[in-house]
Amino acid sequence: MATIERESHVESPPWPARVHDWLTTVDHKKLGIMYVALAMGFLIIGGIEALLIRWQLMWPESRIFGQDTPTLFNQLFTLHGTTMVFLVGMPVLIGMANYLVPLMIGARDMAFPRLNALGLWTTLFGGLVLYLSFLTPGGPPAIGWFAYAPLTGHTFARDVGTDLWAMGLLVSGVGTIGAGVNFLATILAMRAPGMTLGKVPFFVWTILWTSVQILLAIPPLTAALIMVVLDRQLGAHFFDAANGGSPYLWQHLFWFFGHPEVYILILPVFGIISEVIPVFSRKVLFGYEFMAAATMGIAFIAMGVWAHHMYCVGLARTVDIYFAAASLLVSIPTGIKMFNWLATMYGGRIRFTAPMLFAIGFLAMFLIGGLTGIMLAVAPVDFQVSDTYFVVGHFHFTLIGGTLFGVFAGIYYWYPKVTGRMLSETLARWQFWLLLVGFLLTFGPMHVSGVLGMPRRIYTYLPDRGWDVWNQISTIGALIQAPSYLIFVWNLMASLRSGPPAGDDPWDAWTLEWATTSPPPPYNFEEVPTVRSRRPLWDFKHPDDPDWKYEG
Amino acid sequence: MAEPSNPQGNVELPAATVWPLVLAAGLALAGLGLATSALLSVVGLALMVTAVVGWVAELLPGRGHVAVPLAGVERRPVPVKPLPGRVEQLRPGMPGHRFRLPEKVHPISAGIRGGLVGGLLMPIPALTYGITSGHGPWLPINLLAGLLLPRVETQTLAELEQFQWTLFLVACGIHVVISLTIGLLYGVLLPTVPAFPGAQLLAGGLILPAMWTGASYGLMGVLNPALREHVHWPWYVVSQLVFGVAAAIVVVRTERVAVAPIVGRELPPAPREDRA
Repeated sequence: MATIERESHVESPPWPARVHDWLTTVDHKKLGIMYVALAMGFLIIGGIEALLIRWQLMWPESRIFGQDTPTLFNQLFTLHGTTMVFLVGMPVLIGMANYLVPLMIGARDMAFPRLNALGLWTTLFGGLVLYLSFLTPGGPPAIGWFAYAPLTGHTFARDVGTDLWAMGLLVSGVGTIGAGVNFLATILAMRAPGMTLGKVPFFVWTILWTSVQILLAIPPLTAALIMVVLDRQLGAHFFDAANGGSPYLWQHLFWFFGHPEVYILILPVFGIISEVIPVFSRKVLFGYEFMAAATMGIAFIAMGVWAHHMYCVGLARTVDIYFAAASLLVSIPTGIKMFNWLATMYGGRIRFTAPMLFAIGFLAMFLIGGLTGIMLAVAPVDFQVSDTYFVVGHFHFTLIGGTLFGVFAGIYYWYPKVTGRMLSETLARWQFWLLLVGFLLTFGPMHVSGVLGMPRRIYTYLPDRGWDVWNQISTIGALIQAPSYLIFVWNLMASLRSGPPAGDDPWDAWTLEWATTSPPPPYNFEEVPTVRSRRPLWDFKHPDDPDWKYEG
Repeated sequence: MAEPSNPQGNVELPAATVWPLVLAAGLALAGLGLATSALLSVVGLALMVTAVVGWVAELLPGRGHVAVPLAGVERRPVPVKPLPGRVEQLRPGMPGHRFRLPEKVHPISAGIRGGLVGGLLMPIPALTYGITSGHGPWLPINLLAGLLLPRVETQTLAELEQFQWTLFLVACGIHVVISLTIGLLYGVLLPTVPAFPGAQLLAGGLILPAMWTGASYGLMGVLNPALREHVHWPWYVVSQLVFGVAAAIVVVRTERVAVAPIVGRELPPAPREDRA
């Protein structure tokens, strides 16, 4: 690994100037860093909520908060779900894309830098509005992260927490839509000369389709949230069955957003993995064209599968059959990706450094989540395990085993570019193994307790159900996972000060971001590079065997 | 590389601005006020209007951008160094070049012979069961035919113990087809078993028969549950194992032949390896 020490020292300005600089910046790199920092902050908060949930469920008939336990438990899982999806998952991926997309396509910034800044701040303020509910008399909302009607009606949620939940998501949704518009404009209009759409780095391609999904999926949620607010503030009765409204309407609108949201949270990770695996296998990505088509396929199919979350409401048999078939269809492009990643690794000279370790962890864990997803897509199976811990286990395998493992792979890969410092490999390995073991212990047993009939969202259970041991293993797993996150945060902070210098291209990688300094200057590239293939740096490094000779 | 910075050595970038932050704060306050106090909404709306005005003002020509000087030479990127000669094309004959797996296979005739030998030996335990149990040799044969023919399950046990031409011929047909098919599968699958001593025999003589026995137990329950009641499963298992062991021994003892190599193009597009 080539490392280059930069001895030059630039005197840093006083801290008020630095704070002002960060608060007013429109630089995509600083905004990206703040997005990721915001997500990490909320990850810690959401993680603490998860630990409290697990602690409560460790023993049957437990009441760790005394008489308030049922209400507090409902509030905790509502905040945990909302936080992890809206304030961790999306911001961390949007942040990484913010940082990387312009660098990877040879642009100097995003297409709309001010809109970019607005997106960050609305996400932050949306989160703060949600968490301000702790200061209100009734406390946070207790409606679950998908807030089914009539739970959001005044009859069941009299306090202001539910209003703040809706307003928080509305405000942060503005930022997400802005980010989607910005990515689309940037990728479509600001690529380096020669970089056709068929030559963009794969991460950029996945962000393009994620943005399409954002633009199609978030507005229905925004509309539905406005309807909730109108119901609660003005008695509009959109979702009030007693007055001619329909709670099912909310379910349709929510899941029309909610299922594409799953892919909004995983497509960028597919992109990260598609960058990491080739570089650490020393091979070109296998089947780029098929991978690209599979990404498009997933983006389109994912828009038409929402009602597989609603089998149990009693939809018509024809509708169930359609949604089951459409949901099963997603497994084809996803399978293509899996096989192509494996084919990329096959025969490669694999380097088992931290990014690759997490990428392999992603492959294994996401595969399990995908397979249980196929089971749940089958309506009769779903009838049996809907709203049980089986579902909880499934989506944590996709969102932690998938999204989070992939994000860690990406952070370990690009941290040297962002900071100019290498992360500690030793700490990374500790983090990986603790996370993997803890994760499997936490969420594996949930499949069993779910099949045994344990419903999700219950605050406690009777001791004679046979669920005790599975819950205890899950809680022990959560306790094993917890230090892995602390190790990660420590590694980020300690390496920033004392990590070995990274140099411009520590991994001998092939995409444009590695052609500039680490960290890059405000303008990214002194000269906008010209590109002839999907691996421009390979072409520069190997002029006797450039990729453009082979690419069509 | 192309499109350099401007002649002055500066790069024009959007200027820092506080208005996005103010607009977001105004939006959040306006929303918060809807749920709490109208006063907050009023403040929020005022902030939003101020922010939009400030934002639009920065979009006027000549405003909202700054010229950022290029970094000093010592902070510029290290030029990408060409490393010619580090890439080697893999060509036929070189270690690591594409080859078919497995490299050697049994000839197709080995699978056919294995299936035939297994098929000849398999009826021995089946007929032994029929004779020793007092049901006679025709019961297992008629049951096999019942897998394909309709209404066999409606026959009484006494009828099933009798010789029936139709059932005999159908059973023989089923037996030959299945034996040959599985024999051919053995020929294909056994060379792919991990290469440790006895592995092929273990796979062919035990693991695979156990798998299809379990599958046929389940399938028979779906296709013809009435017939399943007449099957004596321990003897059934023994006959499957006899088939498996016999077919595996025949296949394994056959000499393997090399697979035809993949004919590559002069410059194969993949795989290439960086020798770094």
